[in-house]
Amino acid sequence: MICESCNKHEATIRYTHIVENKKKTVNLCSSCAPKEEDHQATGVVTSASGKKVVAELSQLTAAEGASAAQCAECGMSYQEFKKAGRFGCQGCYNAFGEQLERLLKRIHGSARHCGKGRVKQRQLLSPEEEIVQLRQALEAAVAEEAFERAAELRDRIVQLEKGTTEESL
Amino acid sequence: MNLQDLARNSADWLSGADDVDGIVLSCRTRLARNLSSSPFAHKATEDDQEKIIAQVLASAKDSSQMNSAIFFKMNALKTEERRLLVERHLISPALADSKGQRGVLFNRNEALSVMINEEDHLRLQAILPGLKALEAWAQINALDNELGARLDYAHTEKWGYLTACPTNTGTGLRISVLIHLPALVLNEDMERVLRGLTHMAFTVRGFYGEGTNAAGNLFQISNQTTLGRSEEEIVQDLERLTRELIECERNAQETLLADARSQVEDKIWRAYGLLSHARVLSSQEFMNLLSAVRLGHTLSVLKGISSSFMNRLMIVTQPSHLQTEAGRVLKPEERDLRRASLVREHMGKQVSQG
Repeated sequence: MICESCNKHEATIRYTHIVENKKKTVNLCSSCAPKEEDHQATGVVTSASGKKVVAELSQLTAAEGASAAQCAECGMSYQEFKKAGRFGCQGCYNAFGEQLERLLKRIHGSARHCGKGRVKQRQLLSPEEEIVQLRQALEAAVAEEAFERAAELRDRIVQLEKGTTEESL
Repeated sequence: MNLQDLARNSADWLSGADDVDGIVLSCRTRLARNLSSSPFAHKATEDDQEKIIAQVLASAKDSSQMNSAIFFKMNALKTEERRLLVERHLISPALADSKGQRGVLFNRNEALSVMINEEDHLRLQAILPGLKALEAWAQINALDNELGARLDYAHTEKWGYLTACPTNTGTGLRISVLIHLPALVLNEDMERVLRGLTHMAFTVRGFYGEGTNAAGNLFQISNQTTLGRSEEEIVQDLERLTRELIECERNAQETLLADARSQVEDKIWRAYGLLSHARVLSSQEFMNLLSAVRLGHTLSVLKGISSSFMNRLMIVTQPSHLQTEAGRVLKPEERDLRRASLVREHMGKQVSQG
Protein backbone atom coordinates (compact mmCIF):
# COMPACT_ATOMS: atom_id res chain seq x y z
CA MET A 1 0.00 0.00 0.00
CA ILE A 2 1.28 3.47 -0.92
CA CYS A 3 1.31 6.38 1.51
CA GLU A 4 -1.72 8.62 0.99
CA SER A 5 0.22 11.74 1.88
CA CYS A 6 3.37 11.60 -0.27
CA ASN A 7 2.18 8.91 -2.73
CA LYS A 8 5.77 7.70 -2.87
CA HIS A 9 6.66 5.49 0.07
CA GLU A 10 5.15 2.34 1.46
CA ALA A 11 2.40 3.04 3.99
CA THR A 12 3.34 1.37 7.25
CA ILE A 13 1.12 3.24 9.68
CA ARG A 14 -2.64 3.46 9.82
CA TYR A 15 -3.28 6.87 11.20
CA THR A 16 -6.58 7.78 12.76
CA HIS A 17 -7.51 11.31 13.68
CA ILE A 18 -10.60 13.31 14.41
CA VAL A 19 -11.59 16.04 11.97
CA GLU A 20 -14.66 18.05 12.91
CA ASN A 21 -15.92 15.24 15.09
CA LYS A 22 -15.55 12.68 12.30
CA LYS A 23 -13.09 9.82 12.55
CA LYS A 24 -10.75 9.80 9.59
CA THR A 25 -8.28 7.03 8.82
CA VAL A 26 -5.38 7.36 6.40
CA ASN A 27 -2.51 5.06 5.51
CA LEU A 28 0.83 6.81 5.79
CA CYS A 29 4.51 6.02 5.49
CA SER A 30 6.67 6.47 8.56
CA SER A 31 8.06 9.81 7.43
CA CYS A 32 4.65 11.32 6.69
CA ALA A 33 2.88 10.13 9.83
CA PRO A 34 4.56 12.47 12.32
CA LYS A 35 4.40 15.33 9.82
CA GLU A 36 0.64 15.06 9.74
CA GLU A 37 0.54 15.09 13.48
CA ASP A 38 3.22 17.39 14.69
CA HIS A 39 3.57 20.30 12.35
CA GLN A 40 1.68 23.46 11.92
CA ALA A 41 2.23 25.67 8.93
CA THR A 42 5.00 27.42 10.86
CA GLY A 43 7.01 24.25 11.30
CA VAL A 44 6.57 24.47 15.06
CA VAL A 45 6.03 21.23 16.88
CA THR A 46 2.55 20.75 18.32
CA SER A 47 1.93 17.56 20.17
CA ALA A 48 -1.45 15.86 20.16
CA SER A 49 -1.69 16.72 23.84
CA GLY A 50 -1.20 20.34 22.83
CA LYS A 51 -4.27 19.99 20.67
CA LYS A 52 -6.19 18.65 23.63
CA VAL A 53 -5.25 21.76 25.58
CA VAL A 54 -6.45 23.96 22.75
CA ALA A 55 -9.80 22.15 22.80
CA GLU A 56 -10.11 22.48 26.58
CA LEU A 57 -9.20 26.14 26.38
CA SER A 58 -11.75 27.00 23.76
CA GLN A 59 -14.45 25.40 25.91
CA LEU A 60 -13.28 27.26 28.98
CA THR A 61 -12.97 30.67 27.43
CA ALA A 62 -16.20 30.47 25.49
CA ALA A 63 -17.93 30.83 28.84
CA GLU A 64 -15.79 33.57 30.35
CA GLY A 65 -15.04 35.90 27.44
CA ALA A 66 -11.66 37.17 26.27
CA SER A 67 -8.76 37.76 28.61
CA ALA A 68 -6.18 40.47 27.99
CA ALA A 69 -3.51 38.83 30.14
CA GLN A 70 0.01 38.90 28.77
CA CYS A 71 3.26 37.42 30.07
CA ALA A 72 5.72 40.14 31.05
CA GLU A 73 8.70 37.81 30.59
CA CYS A 74 8.24 36.41 27.09
CA GLY A 75 5.43 38.59 25.79
CA MET A 76 3.04 35.72 25.05
CA SER A 77 -0.59 36.80 25.28
CA TYR A 78 -3.34 34.62 26.64
CA GLN A 79 -4.86 34.61 23.14
CA GLU A 80 -1.63 33.21 21.69
CA PHE A 81 -1.49 30.59 24.42
CA LYS A 82 -5.07 29.64 23.59
CA LYS A 83 -4.09 29.05 19.98
CA ALA A 84 -0.85 27.15 20.60
CA GLY A 85 -1.83 25.25 23.74
CA ARG A 86 1.67 25.77 25.07
CA PHE A 87 3.27 28.33 27.34
CA GLY A 88 6.12 30.54 26.17
CA CYS A 89 8.10 30.47 29.40
CA GLN A 90 7.74 29.77 33.09
CA GLY A 91 6.52 33.35 33.63
CA CYS A 92 3.33 32.52 31.68
CA TYR A 93 2.24 30.35 34.59
CA ASN A 94 1.95 33.44 36.77
CA ALA A 95 0.63 35.71 34.06
CA PHE A 96 -2.28 33.37 33.25
CA GLY A 97 -2.70 32.22 36.84
CA GLU A 98 -6.42 32.70 37.24
CA GLN A 99 -7.49 30.95 34.05
CA LEU A 100 -4.76 28.40 34.50
CA GLU A 101 -6.16 27.16 37.78
CA ARG A 102 -9.37 26.15 36.01
CA LEU A 103 -7.58 24.72 33.01
CA LEU A 104 -5.32 22.50 35.12
CA LYS A 105 -8.33 21.27 37.06
CA ARG A 106 -10.06 20.33 33.84
CA ILE A 107 -7.04 18.48 32.50
CA HIS A 108 -5.81 16.79 35.66
CA GLY A 109 -8.76 16.89 38.03
CA SER A 110 -6.53 18.89 40.36
CA ALA A 111 -4.54 22.10 40.33
CA ARG A 112 -2.16 21.25 43.15
CA HIS A 113 1.18 19.51 42.85
CA CYS A 114 1.80 16.89 45.50
CA GLY A 115 4.79 15.13 44.02
CA LYS A 116 8.52 15.62 44.01
CA GLY A 117 9.85 18.87 45.43
CA ARG A 118 12.62 20.99 44.00
CA VAL A 119 15.77 18.99 43.24
CA LYS A 120 18.45 19.86 45.74
CA GLN A 121 20.99 22.14 44.12
CA ARG A 122 24.59 21.32 44.63
CA GLN A 123 26.41 24.10 46.41
CA LEU A 124 28.01 26.07 43.64
CA LEU A 125 31.64 26.98 44.18
CA SER A 126 33.10 30.40 43.53
CA PRO A 127 35.57 30.40 40.61
CA GLU A 128 38.47 30.77 43.05
CA GLU A 129 37.36 27.73 45.06
CA GLU A 130 36.82 25.75 41.89
CA ILE A 131 40.32 26.61 40.66
CA VAL A 132 41.80 25.28 43.92
CA GLN A 133 39.87 22.02 43.51
CA LEU A 134 40.79 21.72 39.85
CA ARG A 135 44.50 22.23 40.62
CA GLN A 136 44.37 19.35 43.09
CA ALA A 137 42.62 17.17 40.51
CA LEU A 138 45.20 18.20 37.92
CA GLU A 139 48.09 17.13 40.16
CA ALA A 140 46.40 13.80 40.78
CA ALA A 141 45.81 13.30 37.06
CA VAL A 142 49.45 14.04 36.23
CA ALA A 143 50.59 11.65 38.97
CA GLU A 144 48.39 8.95 37.43
CA GLU A 145 49.69 9.88 33.97
CA ALA A 146 46.11 10.46 32.86
CA PHE A 147 47.18 13.14 30.44
CA GLU A 148 43.97 13.51 28.52
CA ARG A 149 42.09 14.32 31.71
CA ALA A 150 44.95 16.57 32.84
CA ALA A 151 44.68 18.55 29.62
CA GLU A 152 40.94 18.98 30.08
CA LEU A 153 41.46 20.17 33.65
CA ARG A 154 44.19 22.57 32.61
CA ASP A 155 41.94 24.09 29.92
CA ARG A 156 39.16 24.53 32.46
CA ILE A 157 41.55 26.25 34.90
CA VAL A 158 42.82 28.60 32.20
CA GLN A 159 39.24 29.41 31.26
CA LEU A 160 38.29 30.14 34.87
CA GLU A 161 41.39 32.22 35.54
CA LYS A 162 40.62 34.30 32.48
CA GLY A 163 37.08 34.80 33.77
CA THR A 164 38.16 35.94 37.24
CA THR A 165 40.79 38.41 36.01
CA GLU A 166 38.34 39.89 33.51
CA GLU A 167 35.85 40.37 36.29
CA SER A 168 38.38 42.02 38.60
CA LEU A 169 39.46 44.49 35.92
CA MET B 1 29.63 4.68 18.49
CA ASN B 2 28.46 5.33 14.94
CA LEU B 3 24.92 4.72 13.76
CA GLN B 4 25.70 1.44 12.07
CA ASP B 5 26.99 0.08 15.39
CA LEU B 6 23.92 1.48 17.07
CA ALA B 7 21.62 -0.31 14.59
CA ARG B 8 23.30 -3.60 15.49
CA ASN B 9 23.38 -2.91 19.19
CA SER B 10 20.94 -4.80 21.34
CA ALA B 11 19.35 -2.41 23.80
CA ASP B 12 19.00 -3.71 27.35
CA TRP B 13 15.25 -3.19 27.36
CA LEU B 14 14.83 -5.86 24.67
CA SER B 15 16.24 -8.58 26.92
CA GLY B 16 12.84 -10.04 27.79
CA ALA B 17 13.66 -10.18 31.50
CA ASP B 18 10.61 -10.20 33.82
CA ASP B 19 8.27 -9.90 30.86
CA VAL B 20 5.52 -12.20 32.21
CA ASP B 21 5.87 -14.85 29.48
CA GLY B 22 6.19 -12.22 26.79
CA ILE B 23 3.11 -10.18 27.72
CA VAL B 24 4.75 -7.00 29.06
CA LEU B 25 7.68 -6.15 26.83
CA SER B 26 8.96 -3.05 28.53
CA CYS B 27 8.28 -0.23 30.94
CA ARG B 28 9.29 3.34 30.32
CA THR B 29 9.36 6.48 32.45
CA ARG B 30 9.96 9.99 31.26
CA LEU B 31 10.29 13.30 33.08
CA ALA B 32 9.73 16.70 31.49
CA ARG B 33 12.03 19.42 32.87
CA ASN B 34 12.85 23.00 31.94
CA LEU B 35 15.56 25.43 32.94
CA SER B 36 14.34 28.62 34.54
CA SER B 37 16.99 30.66 32.70
CA SER B 38 15.39 30.42 29.27
CA PRO B 39 11.97 30.53 27.56
CA PHE B 40 10.58 27.10 26.68
CA ALA B 41 12.24 25.37 23.71
CA HIS B 42 9.79 26.56 21.05
CA LYS B 43 10.23 30.21 22.10
CA ALA B 44 13.97 30.01 22.73
CA THR B 45 16.41 31.51 20.23
CA GLU B 46 19.03 29.22 18.70
CA ASP B 47 21.53 30.88 21.02
CA ASP B 48 19.41 29.97 24.04
CA GLN B 49 19.03 26.44 22.72
CA GLU B 50 22.81 26.10 22.30
CA LYS B 51 23.32 27.24 25.88
CA ILE B 52 20.76 24.75 27.13
CA ILE B 53 22.51 21.92 25.30
CA ALA B 54 25.86 22.99 26.79
CA GLN B 55 24.42 23.12 30.31
CA VAL B 56 22.74 19.73 30.04
CA LEU B 57 25.89 18.14 28.62
CA ALA B 58 27.97 19.64 31.43
CA SER B 59 25.59 18.33 34.08
CA ALA B 60 25.58 14.87 32.45
CA LYS B 61 29.37 14.82 32.36
CA ASP B 62 29.31 15.54 36.06
CA SER B 63 26.81 12.76 36.84
CA SER B 64 27.65 9.20 37.78
CA GLN B 65 25.00 7.74 35.48
CA MET B 66 25.56 9.54 32.20
CA ASN B 67 29.18 10.69 32.29
CA SER B 68 30.08 8.53 29.31
CA ALA B 69 26.84 8.98 27.39
CA ILE B 70 26.77 9.41 23.61
CA PHE B 71 25.47 12.70 22.20
CA PHE B 72 23.95 13.31 18.79
CA LYS B 73 22.96 16.73 17.56
CA MET B 74 19.86 16.60 15.39
CA ASN B 75 21.03 19.04 12.71
CA ALA B 76 24.20 16.99 12.22
CA LEU B 77 22.15 13.92 11.27
CA LYS B 78 20.46 13.00 8.02
CA THR B 79 16.71 12.33 8.01
CA GLU B 80 17.35 8.60 7.72
CA GLU B 81 19.68 8.63 10.71
CA ARG B 82 17.12 10.42 12.82
CA ARG B 83 14.50 7.83 11.83
CA LEU B 84 16.85 5.16 13.14
CA LEU B 85 16.88 6.86 16.55
CA VAL B 86 13.07 7.03 16.46
CA GLU B 87 12.87 3.32 15.66
CA ARG B 88 15.06 2.61 18.68
CA HIS B 89 12.72 4.71 20.85
CA LEU B 90 15.59 7.03 21.76
CA ILE B 91 13.93 10.12 20.31
CA SER B 92 10.38 11.13 19.44
CA PRO B 93 9.23 11.72 15.86
CA ALA B 94 8.69 15.35 16.92
CA LEU B 95 12.37 15.77 17.81
CA ALA B 96 13.45 14.09 14.58
CA ASP B 97 11.42 16.53 12.50
CA SER B 98 12.03 19.84 14.23
CA LYS B 99 14.51 22.51 13.27
CA GLY B 100 16.86 24.41 15.55
CA GLN B 101 19.46 23.28 18.07
CA ARG B 102 18.29 19.98 19.48
CA GLY B 103 19.86 16.72 20.42
CA VAL B 104 19.82 13.47 22.30
CA LEU B 105 22.11 11.99 24.89
CA PHE B 106 21.98 8.30 25.73
CA ASN B 107 23.89 5.51 27.36
CA ARG B 108 25.36 2.68 25.34
CA ASN B 109 22.86 0.17 26.74
CA GLU B 110 20.07 2.63 25.80
CA ALA B 111 18.45 2.37 29.24
CA LEU B 112 18.79 6.08 30.01
CA SER B 113 18.41 8.92 27.55
CA VAL B 114 17.79 12.65 27.53
CA MET B 115 16.22 14.53 24.64
CA ILE B 116 17.34 18.15 24.69
CA ASN B 117 15.07 20.93 23.38
CA GLU B 118 12.15 18.78 22.37
CA GLU B 119 8.88 20.28 23.65
CA ASP B 120 10.65 20.78 26.98
CA HIS B 121 14.33 21.61 27.52
CA LEU B 122 14.88 18.12 28.92
CA ARG B 123 12.97 14.91 28.47
CA LEU B 124 14.62 12.27 30.63
CA GLN B 125 13.80 8.66 29.78
CA ALA B 126 14.45 5.33 31.45
CA ILE B 127 13.39 2.16 29.68
CA LEU B 128 13.56 -1.30 31.22
CA PRO B 129 12.55 -4.77 30.12
CA GLY B 130 9.38 -6.29 31.54
CA LEU B 131 7.15 -4.81 34.20
CA LYS B 132 9.64 -3.06 36.48
CA ALA B 133 7.63 0.08 37.04
CA LEU B 134 9.06 1.04 40.41
CA GLU B 135 12.59 0.47 39.24
CA ALA B 136 11.98 2.52 36.10
CA TRP B 137 10.80 5.34 38.36
CA ALA B 138 13.73 4.93 40.76
CA GLN B 139 16.22 5.14 37.90
CA ILE B 140 14.73 8.23 36.30
CA ASN B 141 14.38 9.87 39.71
CA ALA B 142 18.05 9.27 40.50
CA LEU B 143 19.13 10.68 37.14
CA ASP B 144 16.85 13.68 37.67
CA ASN B 145 18.46 14.35 41.06
CA GLU B 146 21.92 14.19 39.57
CA LEU B 147 21.23 16.40 36.57
CA GLY B 148 19.03 18.74 38.60
CA ALA B 149 21.82 19.32 41.11
CA ARG B 150 23.62 21.38 38.48
CA LEU B 151 20.63 22.75 36.58
CA ASP B 152 18.16 25.32 37.80
CA TYR B 153 14.81 23.67 37.03
CA ALA B 154 11.64 25.70 36.63
CA HIS B 155 9.58 24.63 39.64
CA THR B 156 7.04 26.11 42.03
CA GLU B 157 5.60 24.73 45.26
CA LYS B 158 2.08 24.97 43.97
CA TRP B 159 2.38 23.66 40.43
CA GLY B 160 5.49 21.53 40.71
CA TYR B 161 7.64 21.29 37.58
CA LEU B 162 6.65 23.83 34.95
CA THR B 163 6.39 22.41 31.46
CA ALA B 164 5.69 23.89 28.03
CA CYS B 165 2.38 22.04 27.79
CA PRO B 166 -0.05 22.13 30.74
CA THR B 167 -0.78 18.41 30.24
CA ASN B 168 2.66 17.67 31.76
CA THR B 169 2.65 20.23 34.56
CA GLY B 170 3.37 18.97 38.07
CA THR B 171 5.36 15.77 38.15
CA GLY B 172 6.19 15.91 34.42
CA LEU B 173 6.06 12.14 34.70
CA ARG B 174 4.74 9.86 32.02
CA ILE B 175 5.05 6.15 32.69
CA SER B 176 4.08 3.59 30.08
CA VAL B 177 4.14 -0.13 29.51
CA LEU B 178 4.34 -1.87 26.16
CA ILE B 179 1.94 -4.77 26.39
CA HIS B 180 0.95 -7.58 24.02
CA LEU B 181 -2.78 -8.37 24.13
CA PRO B 182 -3.56 -10.77 21.26
CA ALA B 183 -6.32 -12.79 22.91
CA LEU B 184 -8.23 -9.68 24.01
CA VAL B 185 -8.05 -8.40 20.44
CA LEU B 186 -9.11 -11.78 18.99
CA ASN B 187 -12.04 -12.02 21.39
CA GLU B 188 -13.02 -8.48 20.40
CA ASP B 189 -12.82 -7.44 24.03
CA MET B 190 -10.29 -4.71 23.38
CA GLU B 191 -12.82 -1.92 22.69
CA ARG B 192 -14.41 -2.47 26.06
CA VAL B 193 -11.06 -2.65 27.86
CA LEU B 194 -9.86 0.52 26.13
CA ARG B 195 -12.99 2.43 27.12
CA GLY B 196 -12.44 1.37 30.73
CA LEU B 197 -8.83 2.53 30.64
CA THR B 198 -9.64 5.94 29.22
CA HIS B 199 -12.23 6.32 31.92
CA MET B 200 -9.55 5.69 34.54
CA ALA B 201 -7.30 8.47 33.15
CA PHE B 202 -4.99 6.18 31.21
CA THR B 203 -4.13 6.58 27.56
CA VAL B 204 -3.73 3.77 25.07
CA ARG B 205 -1.63 4.10 21.95
CA GLY B 206 -0.15 1.84 19.31
CA PHE B 207 3.49 0.77 19.21
CA TYR B 208 4.48 3.77 17.10
CA GLY B 209 2.86 6.28 19.44
CA GLU B 210 0.05 8.74 19.28
CA GLY B 211 -2.62 8.22 16.64
CA THR B 212 -1.32 4.89 15.39
CA ASN B 213 -3.05 1.54 15.21
CA ALA B 214 -1.79 -1.22 17.41
CA ALA B 215 0.53 -3.06 15.04
CA GLY B 216 1.00 -6.66 16.10
CA ASN B 217 -1.47 -6.31 19.01
CA LEU B 218 1.04 -4.21 20.93
CA PHE B 219 -0.34 -1.40 23.05
CA GLN B 220 1.29 1.39 25.01
CA ILE B 221 -0.59 2.25 28.16
CA SER B 222 0.32 5.42 30.02
CA ASN B 223 -0.96 7.84 32.65
CA GLN B 224 -2.94 10.81 31.38
CA THR B 225 -2.57 13.20 34.28
CA THR B 226 0.52 14.55 36.01
CA LEU B 227 -0.89 16.89 38.64
CA GLY B 228 -2.55 16.11 41.98
CA ARG B 229 -0.91 12.76 42.64
CA SER B 230 2.61 11.87 43.67
CA GLU B 231 5.00 10.05 41.34
CA GLU B 232 4.78 6.90 43.47
CA GLU B 233 0.99 6.87 43.26
CA ILE B 234 1.08 7.30 39.48
CA VAL B 235 3.60 4.49 39.14
CA GLN B 236 1.72 2.13 41.45
CA ASP B 237 -1.58 2.84 39.70
CA LEU B 238 -0.09 1.94 36.35
CA GLU B 239 1.50 -1.20 37.72
CA ARG B 240 -1.76 -2.32 39.36
CA LEU B 241 -3.69 -1.66 36.19
CA THR B 242 -1.12 -3.53 34.10
CA ARG B 243 -1.43 -6.55 36.39
CA GLU B 244 -5.20 -6.46 35.91
CA LEU B 245 -4.75 -6.29 32.16
CA ILE B 246 -2.40 -9.27 32.27
CA GLU B 247 -5.09 -11.15 34.19
CA CYS B 248 -7.72 -10.23 31.56
CA GLU B 249 -5.39 -11.33 28.76
CA ARG B 250 -4.63 -14.63 30.52
CA ASN B 251 -8.35 -15.31 30.95
CA ALA B 252 -9.01 -14.50 27.32
CA GLN B 253 -6.20 -16.86 26.31
CA GLU B 254 -7.72 -19.65 28.37
CA THR B 255 -11.12 -19.08 26.81
CA LEU B 256 -9.54 -19.20 23.38
CA LEU B 257 -7.76 -22.46 24.11
CA ALA B 258 -10.87 -24.01 25.66
CA ASP B 259 -13.03 -23.06 22.65
CA ALA B 260 -10.64 -23.64 19.80
CA ARG B 261 -7.30 -25.12 20.79
CA SER B 262 -6.53 -26.65 17.40
CA GLN B 263 -7.32 -23.47 15.50
CA VAL B 264 -5.17 -21.39 17.86
CA GLU B 265 -2.26 -23.81 17.60
CA ASP B 266 -2.67 -23.91 13.84
CA LYS B 267 -2.56 -20.11 13.65
CA ILE B 268 0.63 -20.04 15.71
CA TRP B 269 2.40 -22.74 13.70
CA ARG B 270 1.34 -21.21 10.40
CA ALA B 271 2.78 -17.87 11.51
CA TYR B 272 5.97 -19.64 12.47
CA GLY B 273 6.08 -21.34 9.08
CA LEU B 274 5.55 -18.11 7.18
CA LEU B 275 8.22 -16.23 9.14
CA SER B 276 10.65 -19.09 8.52
CA HIS B 277 10.05 -19.33 4.79
CA ALA B 278 8.42 -16.20 3.36
CA ARG B 279 10.32 -14.37 0.62
CA VAL B 280 8.43 -11.05 0.89
CA LEU B 281 7.29 -9.54 4.20
CA SER B 282 5.70 -6.13 4.69
CA SER B 283 6.16 -4.63 8.14
CA GLN B 284 2.44 -4.97 8.83
CA GLU B 285 2.42 -8.67 7.94
CA PHE B 286 5.60 -9.24 9.90
CA MET B 287 4.18 -7.62 13.03
CA ASN B 288 1.00 -9.69 12.79
CA LEU B 289 2.88 -12.96 12.33
CA LEU B 290 5.27 -12.08 15.14
CA SER B 291 2.27 -11.47 17.38
CA ALA B 292 1.02 -15.02 16.72
CA VAL B 293 4.48 -16.44 17.42
CA ARG B 294 4.68 -14.39 20.61
CA LEU B 295 1.32 -15.81 21.66
CA GLY B 296 2.78 -19.25 20.95
CA HIS B 297 5.62 -18.43 23.33
CA THR B 298 3.25 -17.18 26.05
CA LEU B 299 1.08 -20.32 25.74
CA SER B 300 4.16 -22.59 25.61
CA VAL B 301 2.94 -23.92 22.26
CA LEU B 302 6.23 -22.84 20.67
CA LYS B 303 9.36 -23.62 22.60
CA GLY B 304 12.85 -22.42 21.82
CA ILE B 305 11.79 -18.96 20.68
CA SER B 306 12.72 -16.44 23.32
CA SER B 307 11.29 -13.01 24.05
CA SER B 308 14.63 -11.33 23.54
CA PHE B 309 14.87 -12.93 20.09
CA MET B 310 11.43 -11.63 19.09
CA ASN B 311 12.03 -8.18 20.58
CA ARG B 312 15.29 -7.73 18.72
CA LEU B 313 13.79 -8.97 15.49
CA MET B 314 11.01 -6.42 15.88
CA ILE B 315 13.58 -3.61 16.08
CA VAL B 316 15.98 -4.65 13.31
CA THR B 317 13.25 -5.25 10.71
CA GLN B 318 12.06 -1.63 10.81
CA PRO B 319 12.68 0.41 7.63
CA SER B 320 15.56 2.60 8.82
CA HIS B 321 17.30 -0.36 10.42
CA LEU B 322 17.13 -2.30 7.16
CA GLN B 323 18.46 0.74 5.28
CA THR B 324 21.29 1.36 7.72
CA GLU B 325 22.33 -2.26 7.36
CA ALA B 326 22.14 -2.02 3.56
CA GLY B 327 24.07 1.27 3.62
CA ARG B 328 21.61 2.95 1.25
CA VAL B 329 17.99 4.03 0.86
CA LEU B 330 15.77 1.09 -0.10
CA LYS B 331 12.52 1.07 -2.01
CA PRO B 332 9.59 -0.45 -0.09
CA GLU B 333 9.70 -3.59 -2.30
CA GLU B 334 13.40 -3.99 -1.57
CA ARG B 335 12.77 -3.59 2.13
CA ASP B 336 10.12 -6.31 2.08
CA LEU B 337 12.61 -8.68 0.43
CA ARG B 338 15.36 -7.83 2.87
CA ARG B 339 13.01 -8.04 5.82
CA ALA B 340 11.93 -11.54 4.79
CA SER B 341 15.50 -12.67 4.27
CA LEU B 342 16.66 -11.24 7.60
CA VAL B 343 13.78 -12.90 9.45
CA ARG B 344 14.45 -16.24 7.69
CA GLU B 345 18.11 -16.09 8.57
CA HIS B 346 17.37 -15.35 12.24
CA MET B 347 14.60 -17.93 12.51
CA GLY B 348 17.00 -20.53 11.10
CA LYS B 349 19.59 -19.72 13.75
CA GLN B 350 17.02 -19.72 16.52
CA VAL B 351 15.77 -23.20 15.57
CA SER B 352 19.24 -24.68 15.41
CA GLN B 353 19.91 -23.25 18.88
CA GLY B 354 16.56 -24.35 20.30
